Amino acid sequence: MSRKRILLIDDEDDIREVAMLALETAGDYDVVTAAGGRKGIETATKFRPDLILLDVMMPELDGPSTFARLQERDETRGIPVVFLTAKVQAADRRNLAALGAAGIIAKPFDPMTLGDQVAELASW
Amino acid sequence: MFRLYALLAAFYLLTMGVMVYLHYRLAALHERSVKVNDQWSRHALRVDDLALLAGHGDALAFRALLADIELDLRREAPGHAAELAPRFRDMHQRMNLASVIALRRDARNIQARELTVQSGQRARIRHANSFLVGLTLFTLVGAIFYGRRLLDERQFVIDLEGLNAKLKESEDRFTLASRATSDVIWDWNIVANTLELSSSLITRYGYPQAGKMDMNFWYEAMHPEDRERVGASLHRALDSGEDRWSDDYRFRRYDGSYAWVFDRGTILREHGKPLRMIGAILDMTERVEAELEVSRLSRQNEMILQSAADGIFGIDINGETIFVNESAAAMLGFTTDEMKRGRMHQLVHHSHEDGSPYAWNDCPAYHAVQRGVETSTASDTFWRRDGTAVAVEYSSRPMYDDLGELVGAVVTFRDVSERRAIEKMKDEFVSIVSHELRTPLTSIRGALGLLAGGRLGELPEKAHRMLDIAVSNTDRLVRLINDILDIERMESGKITLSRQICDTRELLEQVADVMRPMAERAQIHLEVDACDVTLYADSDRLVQTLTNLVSNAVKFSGAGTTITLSAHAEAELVTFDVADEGRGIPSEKLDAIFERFQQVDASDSREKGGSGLGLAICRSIVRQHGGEIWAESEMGHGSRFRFTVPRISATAQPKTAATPGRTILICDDDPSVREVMTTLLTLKGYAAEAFASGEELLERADFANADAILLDLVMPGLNGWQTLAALKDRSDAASVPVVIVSVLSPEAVGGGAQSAPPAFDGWVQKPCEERTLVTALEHAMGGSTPNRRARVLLVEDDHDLARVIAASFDRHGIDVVHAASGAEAIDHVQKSHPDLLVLDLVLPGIDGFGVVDWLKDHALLQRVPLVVYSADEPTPSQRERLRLGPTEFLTKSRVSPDEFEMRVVQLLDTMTGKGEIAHVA
Repeated sequence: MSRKRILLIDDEDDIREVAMLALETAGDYDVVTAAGGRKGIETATKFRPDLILLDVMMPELDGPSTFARLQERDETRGIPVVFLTAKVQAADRRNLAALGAAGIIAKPFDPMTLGDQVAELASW
Repeated sequence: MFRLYALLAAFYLLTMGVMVYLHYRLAALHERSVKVNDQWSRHALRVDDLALLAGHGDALAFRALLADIELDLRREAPGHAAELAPRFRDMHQRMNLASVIALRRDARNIQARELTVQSGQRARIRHANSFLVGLTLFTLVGAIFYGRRLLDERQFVIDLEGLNAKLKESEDRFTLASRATSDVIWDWNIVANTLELSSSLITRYGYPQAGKMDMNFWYEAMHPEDRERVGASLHRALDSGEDRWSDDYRFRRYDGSYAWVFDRGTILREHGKPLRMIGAILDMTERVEAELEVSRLSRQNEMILQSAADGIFGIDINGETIFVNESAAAMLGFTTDEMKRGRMHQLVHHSHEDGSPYAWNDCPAYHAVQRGVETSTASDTFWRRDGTAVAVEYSSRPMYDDLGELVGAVVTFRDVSERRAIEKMKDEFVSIVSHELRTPLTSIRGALGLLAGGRLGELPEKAHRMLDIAVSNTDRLVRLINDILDIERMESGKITLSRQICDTRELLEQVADVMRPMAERAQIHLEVDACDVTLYADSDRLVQTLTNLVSNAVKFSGAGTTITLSAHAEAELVTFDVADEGRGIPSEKLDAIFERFQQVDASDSREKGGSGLGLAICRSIVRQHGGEIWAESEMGHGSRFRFTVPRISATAQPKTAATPGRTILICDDDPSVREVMTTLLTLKGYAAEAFASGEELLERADFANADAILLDLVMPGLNGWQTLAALKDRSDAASVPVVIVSVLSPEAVGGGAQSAPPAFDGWVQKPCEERTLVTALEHAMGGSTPNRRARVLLVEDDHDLARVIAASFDRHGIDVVHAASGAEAIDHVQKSHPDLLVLDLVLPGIDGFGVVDWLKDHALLQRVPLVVYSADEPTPSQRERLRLGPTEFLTKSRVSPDEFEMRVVQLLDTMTGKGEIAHVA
């Protein structure tokens, strides 16, 4: 079984670093990060990850817009996307779920279980 | 004989002569005595005048009058004048009341003496006469004549006696009257200048004695400020010949305090001269003080009214303005005088916020004045003099008169535009802060978690301990932020409940399942005592509330105790109950604990790890459901938290009138499901008919007028599938679309079925949200229209662009209805029920947001698929607001026309799901 490739798109440097460390130390993940929506779409097209962790609130292109762009492209359409969000209200969750993402992980996340959560949502 | 006769005749003649003489003598004496009496009365009156002058201290007039009296006296009765001369001399030297009184006394004595002398003379004459009468018994004329005199005399005496009796009677009456009334009755003998006051002086004003007093008593008892005025009015009455006097003044009580009195008297005169005055002092203190209080209150009310920061005005039942305060005028740019003219509604409340006319009949104040209903309005618009709008909140209270008659209303309002602006700022602030706080917390929590979890190598135990502290406190901080946001959004009405049909038992068991591990760790037994009631509520929120209450109960209960979770149904509501056997809550805290950051013990939040917002959130949730929450407790005997949730009733009025004539048949064996669904559908504007079994449905339903059937699967007797098969076999029922409503999922059924199930038009899994149900129903009913072309409502104010889009859609077999404004869009959407809406955001009049808001309020339209096709990319919050049914956001500059076309067609395909739309390559 090959190592799963995860693309993490978040505008916060610290969060990227912590999440990357959490995923890498958790198990067999290759993690690539992108600091924004546009860069993330570019990386996704090239890197073809098995799953994308996508922050919702980002400057310029936000999470939902990035998700919409990813769905528009043939190369990225099939990649499951999990939203990472500081919005934890039920309504926010419903709205995100309605977009068709694979799942939602609330911020702040627990680094010890982040890997497991991702695996569960992606049904690995 | 002749001699005798002659002698007798002579004797008669002589006797008659003597008798005539005596008669005249007697008459003269009588006349004289009357004259003397008159004279002395006149003198007496003039002496009384002297007394008055003495009282006034008018020395000049006093001496003039004195001289005049002396002169008259000398002329009329020189002897007596000589007798009184020393008295006069004395008075010429000293003008004092005592001498006047002495003079009067002397004069009276002389008068009495005179009358006695005369009376003696008259007696002697009468005796002589009697003697003669004895001699002339035969002299009839003489006898009669004499007898008549005697009779006259007798009559005179009788008269006197009668008068005395009358006087006595009157005095008795005076005493009686003065005893009967608490008013002080007074009798002022002006001549003697004595004053007699009734005993009410003692009982009413606390004086030690009443009865005869000096006139000075009265002057002195009067308030110094009133003396001059009242004295003047009394003398004016006395001098001007009036027979009545009245005035009011302050009368000193014995204790030195003053009573407000109304004093009135009758002046008794003789020949115009006042002799005596009788009157009564009425105590008006209570009335005067009441009047003073009324005027004080009225001044005070006026002050309150005018100094109130809120605008206040009063209207009568016709809406005419009665009063208005300064603040009201200032807030709306009028003067108070301008505002008092005519009807306030016409002046400041004539239009709604959007400029449409506001009928007086619709005004909350109208309901207050017409029906006596107290109303409060949180958000409305008043209009300033210059035509600008003011956001206001106001309340209208009906106003009643003393008899309880509705006479108008008082309206209190305040300008809330500033508050609105602040609320908006606060919301934005909270939203930003929440993001800004969570972002660094995410890093901190992540970094700490990795360290504490040992992923980066083992740490010394102390460091481990410190990291655990850091992690748990970070978690607490996160909870706190979440709770603050939760309650902010809930209380600002940003969160709407997502109601669905749910069962109380399921709710309680769900909560018990979640909480059991926590309870078991604390060695607490968790018990559920539930009834089965169907509620139409936001189950997630109710679970959140119950979980919160149970979690509190666990925190404050000791090991070995029991927490009981129960629900009881009443006619109108369900009461949930979480009872523990913990330490209890002091009664004075029972209300306060539902406030934010209020805990029974300040140390609790640290020890128990709560945010201090849990109960405030619970209260918010319960209130949003229209219920109430409260706590009952006895110290040491545990606490009981209870809250109510209203049950929906089938008699509820439909909220919106949806497409008329759509009749839905419900077939379900569970009465509560039937009830809830009937209510739900009625609320949504459908007509609903419920049947308890498949047999009943087949037997009794009028399928010719039915538009859809909601069918339960698991039923005793004919089950859903059998019923469905029977329906499809009947000519009248076969074409009616059927939506399966079941706890089962279609996958579960489809896989295990022996034979292929009959065709159905929709499937809704229980418990279901109303939206899901309505969408499935509408979908089923819409789908039954055979082979119709899909219809798109294009809302776009750029006509060229609209034509291009319409042309391209036509190639795909899609009809396009074009609306160039928001209002037009709302109009079309009602008429044509489009399958999809393409919406530009910037529109004349009602913009795209307005159109979506309108659609959200209408049951049959709130799930219409929507493509927002706008020039600018909507922000996340705008997206949230615009979401209707399945919603796509396409930005004009970013999406090519071909791409746009493709997306719309795809969306239509997935929506109609029947693949009827012809694709033209």
